[in-house]
Order: sequence, then structure tokens, then C-alpha cells
Amino acid sequence: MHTDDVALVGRLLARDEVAFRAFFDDYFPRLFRFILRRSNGDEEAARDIVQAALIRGVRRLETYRGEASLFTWLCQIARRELADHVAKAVREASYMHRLVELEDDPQVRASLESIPADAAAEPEAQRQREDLTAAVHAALDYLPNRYAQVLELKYLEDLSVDAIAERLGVTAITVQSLLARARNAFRDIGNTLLPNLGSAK
Amino acid sequence: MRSNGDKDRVEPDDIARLIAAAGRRPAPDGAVRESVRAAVEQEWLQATGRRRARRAFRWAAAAAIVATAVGLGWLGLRDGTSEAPAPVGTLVAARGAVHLTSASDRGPIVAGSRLQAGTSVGTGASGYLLLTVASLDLRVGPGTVLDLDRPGHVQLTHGRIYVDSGPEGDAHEPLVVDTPFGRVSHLGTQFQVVVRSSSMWVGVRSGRVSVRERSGRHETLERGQAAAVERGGAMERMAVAPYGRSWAWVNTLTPDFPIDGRPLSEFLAWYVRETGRKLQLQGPATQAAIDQTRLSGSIAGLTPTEALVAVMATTRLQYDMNSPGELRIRLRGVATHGN
Repeated sequence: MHTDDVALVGRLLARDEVAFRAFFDDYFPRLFRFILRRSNGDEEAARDIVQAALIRGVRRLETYRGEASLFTWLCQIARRELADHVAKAVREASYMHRLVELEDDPQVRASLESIPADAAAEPEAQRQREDLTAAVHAALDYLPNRYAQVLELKYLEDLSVDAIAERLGVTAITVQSLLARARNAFRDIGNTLLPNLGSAK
Repeated sequence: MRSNGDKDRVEPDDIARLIAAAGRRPAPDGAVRESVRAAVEQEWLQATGRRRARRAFRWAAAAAIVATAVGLGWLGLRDGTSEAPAPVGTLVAARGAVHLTSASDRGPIVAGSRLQAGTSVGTGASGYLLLTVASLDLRVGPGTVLDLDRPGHVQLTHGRIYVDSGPEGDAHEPLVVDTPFGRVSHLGTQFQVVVRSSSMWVGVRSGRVSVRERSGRHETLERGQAAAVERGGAMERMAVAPYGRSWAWVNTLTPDFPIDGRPLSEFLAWYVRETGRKLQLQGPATQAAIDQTRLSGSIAGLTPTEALVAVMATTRLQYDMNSPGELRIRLRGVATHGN
């Protein structure tokens, strides 16, 4: 049971505007990237699909039970919107698409390795870097926002634990605990999404 | 290479290296974010309002739904000591998911409300707004983010607007539309501006429009002309039909045109102005019949084409739109040219 997500949905249903801002600021960018990876980088399409998915999501908030994370639940809605969008585009015979099955399929590693490569057009190493980058970003998006935030502060901004604590308004001990949990969560997701980790440079 | 079964295959050093190598996650464009936020927030308010209505507060919720239907933006408390911002326009009507917010909170915005400088406008995928700005008719289409930042000036960040300064000869104040790709100034006209994440398009239905790129290059467009400006690219001129699909959204929400007691000729002039078509009358008898016809009733809430169907059914005239861009009128029972 995803109790934090259930609590957030409860606040949304109670028309808590602070909760809505937190909900949108947290989930919109993650869903946008989720769809962008699956719509061949088409930002216009991603915008329309994510907007439709979020609208459908807020209409159905009452049906969220917390069995899956709220992000996973929203991703399921977004996938259906994407499928509708692609089907419509195919019908109109004007849409070239490449669906990236990066983290959708249970056989994610096989999917990662089967991503169509423009091998003739770009070096293999470049393609691998792009795949790896997409996988790392997807892994961060799947984490609770607090976990992704603390990992990025630590490893992207290279902040000390004390500096992170000051930025987040918590104690250094809390940050250390948060980092440990975030690393474990990233490790779990990363082991699924990052098949060639050992060779990543 | 580590084995697949190793649960701890991703080590802390790997995590640091991976996250650093991947860099920042790409963030959606700010304008896109705000446009989507407006649409989703409106839907959220409607959905949760309906839920409340089902549970208990039938009357309160009904009021909220009515308020949403006219596109309210709820405004909070206002600092009574501060100077009121300048008025920049009026909300005439709204449809679908729309959102208006103002820095000077002074109560709900409803149809007829004066809008103050600093008012932000957002429309969802089904949202339309009709405003009066600088004495002009300003229509806002779906997926738009627009700021009414000062009198005679709007900032269009994303989406589409349509401006109509009224029939030629009507007095109007200047209006400047700034976009991320350049500035559009009207010189007495009907035109639309469409801003997407990587481009701007300006089309002119009548009159003249000045388009100035950020680089300073300047073009004047006239009826049937358009210009596209790509991010980092040069302005490209092109032709655009002043009627048809490119303009269809404009007629989703049109200003009321009271017909009661007015001559048919005025209604037809309104129709062709709203749709960009040209009026063609078959012979002097048709002109005489139009001149003799006065209308009664109302077309409130109808699109121009729905209104045309309703009005013409009450006359001894008939019409067709078989020629592109034309509305042809003739007496009933009289064959069309060429038949």
C-alpha cells in the first residue's frame, strides 16, 4: 500500500490547493518525460497526451486505491492515451513513431538491447550513452520525488550532506537516512533498467 | 561483468557515476507546463466540485459548477492601500476549461468583469475565451498562455489568439502582441497569431499587420498573407486562405450579434466578416429582397454558420457555399449561375 500517495490523493479530493500544486509539480515533468521517450521526442504530442492523461487521472482520483504507486497508476493512464494518439495518427497515415519500450516490458533488458539503433548514422558508443542516459532518467522518475531530489543534489550538484540538509530544511542525519534509502531504491530500479551497468563509463 | 543474479549489482559508486554522467533530467518548457497546469487544475476543480455536490452541498456545488462554466478565476484578498492596477480589458464570455488569475485579487471574475493589468489567462484543450482588449475583440483559443500585462499590450507565450478591430473605419486603440519569436502589431484588421514551442505563425484575414522578428527584420502582411517564424530561423512569407479550417476555432465563441429589428444585410455583413467569406448576390432582385428583410428573434449561442442556417430559413432567400471562400445568395426558386 502506497500510503503517502493515498494521503496525497485524499488531499486532492478534499480540494487542497497546496496538494494540487505538489501533485502537478511532481508528476507533470515525470509523466512528460515518460511520454516523450515513447513519442519519438515529439514535444507537441507529449504535451497533448500528458494533458489528456492528467485530466483523466484527476477525474478518476476516487478510484485510486494505492495498490500501485501514484506514478505507476498515472503512467498506465498515459499509456492508454498514447496508444489512442498513435492509433489516431496511424489512421491519418502521417505519423512516424518509434515507441521506446525502455521500462514498460517485463523483459526490460531485452527491450533495451532491442531499441532500434541508427548504427549506420551514429557511433555505437554515442547510442549507448543516450540509452543509458534515458534509463537513468527513467529510473529517477520512478523514484519518489524526494529520493530523486536528494540523489541529484548529491551526485549532480555535488553538495555535501550538510549542504543538502540546509537546502531541504532537515537534519544531516535525516539526509543520510534519505540518501541510503534513495540509493537502495535506485539500485532496485537500476538493476532492472540498466543492463550494462558494469561497462558504463 | 557482474552476474545478473547479483542483487547488489549497482554499487554506490556506480550510482554516483551514472547520475553524474546522465546529467539533469530534461524539464518541460515553462509555457507548456503552465498551459497544461491550467487545463488540469480546471478539470480538478470541476471533478472535485462534482464530488462534493454528490456528497452534501448541492446548492454550493451547483454554484461552483455555474461559476466554472463561465470560466471563473478565483481571486483572493486585496491590499486595500495599494493602487489599483490599470484596466486592460473585459471578460465577455468563456467556454470549456479556462483560468484567469490576477495579481490584484478582488473577487471572482465573471462575464462582464473588468480585467486589470497583470491578469494571466490560461485555456485548456477545450477552453475558449472572448475578451475585449484595447477596444478590440480578442479571442483566445485552446492551449493558450496569455498575459494581459499592460494596456494595449499582451504577451502570448503559447497557443493562439485572434484579433478583430471591427469593420474598417471603426476607431480602435493600438494593440501589440509580443511572443517569444517577435512582435505583432495590428494596423486595423482581423488576424490570428499561433505560438508553438518552436515557431510562431501569423495569418491575416483582412487589413494589415506588422510582424517584427527578434532579430529586427520586419514584414507587413495583408489579407490572405501569413508569415512563419521558426526558432533561430528566418521569417517565411506564405499565402493563407482567409476562410476555412485555419480559422474554424475562431467561431467557437463569437460576440453576440443581436438581430432583433435589424436588416438582413447587417446580419450577412456580420456573417462574412466572421467567416472570412465574400458575399455574392445573384442579381438586383436578390439585393432588393435583402434590403426589404428585417429580422426578429435571437441567434445568441449559435455559431455563425448555425445562425446563417436559422436566419435564412425564415426568408425567401437561399444560399450556397459551393464556391470556395464565397457565400452566394439568391431568391428561392431561381437557378444559380451556370445551371
